[in-house]
Amino acid sequence: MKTNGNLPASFRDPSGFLFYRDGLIYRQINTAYKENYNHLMDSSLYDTLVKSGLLIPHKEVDITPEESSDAYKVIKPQPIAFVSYPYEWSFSQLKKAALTTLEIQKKAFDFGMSLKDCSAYNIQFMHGKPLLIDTLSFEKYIEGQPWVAYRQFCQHFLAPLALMSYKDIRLNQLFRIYIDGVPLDLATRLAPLRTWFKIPILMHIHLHAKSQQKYANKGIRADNSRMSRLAFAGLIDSLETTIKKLRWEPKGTEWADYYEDINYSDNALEHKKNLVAEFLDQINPKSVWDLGANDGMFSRIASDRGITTISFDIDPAAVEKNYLKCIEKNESNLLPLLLDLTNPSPGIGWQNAERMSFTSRGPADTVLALALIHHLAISNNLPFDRIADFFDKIGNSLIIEFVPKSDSQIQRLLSTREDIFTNYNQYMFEKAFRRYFNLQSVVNIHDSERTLYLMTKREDKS
Amino acid sequence: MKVFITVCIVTLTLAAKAYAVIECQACYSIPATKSFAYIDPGMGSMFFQILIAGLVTFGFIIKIFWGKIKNLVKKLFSKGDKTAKNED
Repeated sequence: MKTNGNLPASFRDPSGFLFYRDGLIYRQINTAYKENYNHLMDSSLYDTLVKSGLLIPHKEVDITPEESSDAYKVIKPQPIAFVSYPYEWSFSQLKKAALTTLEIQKKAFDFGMSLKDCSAYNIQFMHGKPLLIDTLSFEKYIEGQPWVAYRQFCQHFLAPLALMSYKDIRLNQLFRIYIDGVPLDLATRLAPLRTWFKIPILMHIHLHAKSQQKYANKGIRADNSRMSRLAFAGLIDSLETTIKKLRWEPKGTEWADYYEDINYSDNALEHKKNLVAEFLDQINPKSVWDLGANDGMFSRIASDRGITTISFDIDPAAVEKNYLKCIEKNESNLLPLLLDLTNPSPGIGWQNAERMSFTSRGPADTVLALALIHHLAISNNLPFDRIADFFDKIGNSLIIEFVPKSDSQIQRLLSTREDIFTNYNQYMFEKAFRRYFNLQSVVNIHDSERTLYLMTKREDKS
Repeated sequence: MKVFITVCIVTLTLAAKAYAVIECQACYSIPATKSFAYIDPGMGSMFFQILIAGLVTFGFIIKIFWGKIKNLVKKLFSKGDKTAKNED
C-alpha cells in the first residue's frame, strides 16, 4: 500500500482530492470549493449528517497541503476499515446504499444544498452501516436547476437494482465492466418486458434511456425552462419509492441452504466452532477475512470478539442472508461481501488503479478457510502450492480445514468427473503449506475425517 | 376507486406525453449549468427531468395529500376515543 501521494481513484473532482501522508489518508479541499465547504459546515448540514451516521466524520488539520497552489484546507476523514465496491455487495447492501444516498440528498436539500454526484463508490460500509465518504459531494442548490446527479443515480443504483430484482441477481457484476454504472440503454435491453408496465421503471429507466439516446451530443440552450423545488423533491421521492419497492428473495442458489445439507454431526460442528474460537484467542488478530463464509456462522466467532471481520462468499443468496442477519442483530464488526475466489475482484478503472483489487486490500491478520480447500483444489484444479502461495499473500496467519478425498462432499464433486487429483492428500497439503507457514496446531475434528490447522506465516521462506 | 382510476389516467397521460415529446424532439430546453458538477449530467437526463417534472410533482402532491388525510382521520378517531374514555 502507498504511504505518500495522491490516491489513484481521486482525480475527477476539481473540488479536492485524497492523498496519503505517512500512511494516513487526508483530503485536500481546493479554493474552488471554498464557498460550498463553508456552507456545508456553517449550515449545520455536516453536523446533522454526521449525527445521523450518513456522512464520514472528519477533522480539519494543520498540515502542509499536497498541492499548495490550489489548497483551501486539509481535512482528515475517519479511516474506513475495509473498502468495498458495489460489485461485491448483495442486493440489500446496494439497496441500502441507494436509500442512504437519497436520504442524504433530502437532508442536503433542507439545508439549501444538493448532491453533485451520486457514485455508488462514494458509499462505504462503516460499523455495518452505509455512509457517504465524499465530503465534497455537496453543492449549493440553484433554484430551478434539475438534479445533475440524476443520470448517475439511475446508472449506479436504480438500473442495477432493477436488473437484479427483475432479471438476474448476478447482473450486479456489470459494475465490473461499466465503472460509471449500468448504461441505461443496456439496462432497457436487458430488463424483461414486464418492467415496461411498471410506471416508475418505465419512466426512470426506459423513457430516460430513450431521452439519453435522442439528445446525446446535443448542446444545452439556456432559457426560462426550470425545474421547480417541488418537482425536484418529487423526483427524489419518486426514486426513493421505486427503490423501496424493489425486492429479491435469497433462495434457490447454489449455497443458500448449505448448512441444512452438510454431513457434519452436531458434535463435529460444535468442536469445529470451539477450535476456531480457541485458535483466534491464541493469535488475537485485529482483522479476519473468512473465505467461503456462506452465511457467516464462523465469521461471527471472530466478529463477536470485536474483530473486524469480512465475510466473503461466491453465492449472492448466502451474502444476502448474512447481511440481513447483520441488520437484524445490529452487528457492527461484520461485513459480508460477494467474491469469487477463483476470479477475485481485479483492479479496475484508470490504469487499473481506481478500484483496488481484492489482494491489494490485504493482508488480513488472519484468514479463515474452512471447508474451502477442496473447492479450490478439485473444482478449480488448483495445485496445493498455488493455493498456499495465494494465502501467503493475503494473510499473516491462517486457520484452514483439510477435507480428505473420502469425504462425501469431495465424492460428490468427483461423481461427475474423472479423478485426476492423485496428489490430493494430507501429506502433500502439509508439504505445500509448510513452505510458507509454520503449522502451529493440527487438530482432528471430532466425529469427522477432517483436520483443522492453525498456521502462522514463516519469516524464513525457502 | 375513483381516485385510483384518476391517478392512473393522469399518470399514463403524462407518461404518454413524455414519450411523445421525446419522439418528436419538441423544443424544450434546460437552464444553463452553473453548478460545480464535474460529472457529465447528460443532456438527455437533464432534459428528461424537466419533461417528467409534471408527473413527479403530481405524484408527490398526491402522496403528501394522502398522508394529511390519513393523519386527519387518525386524529379524529383518537379524539373520539379520548372523548369516549372521558365519558366512561
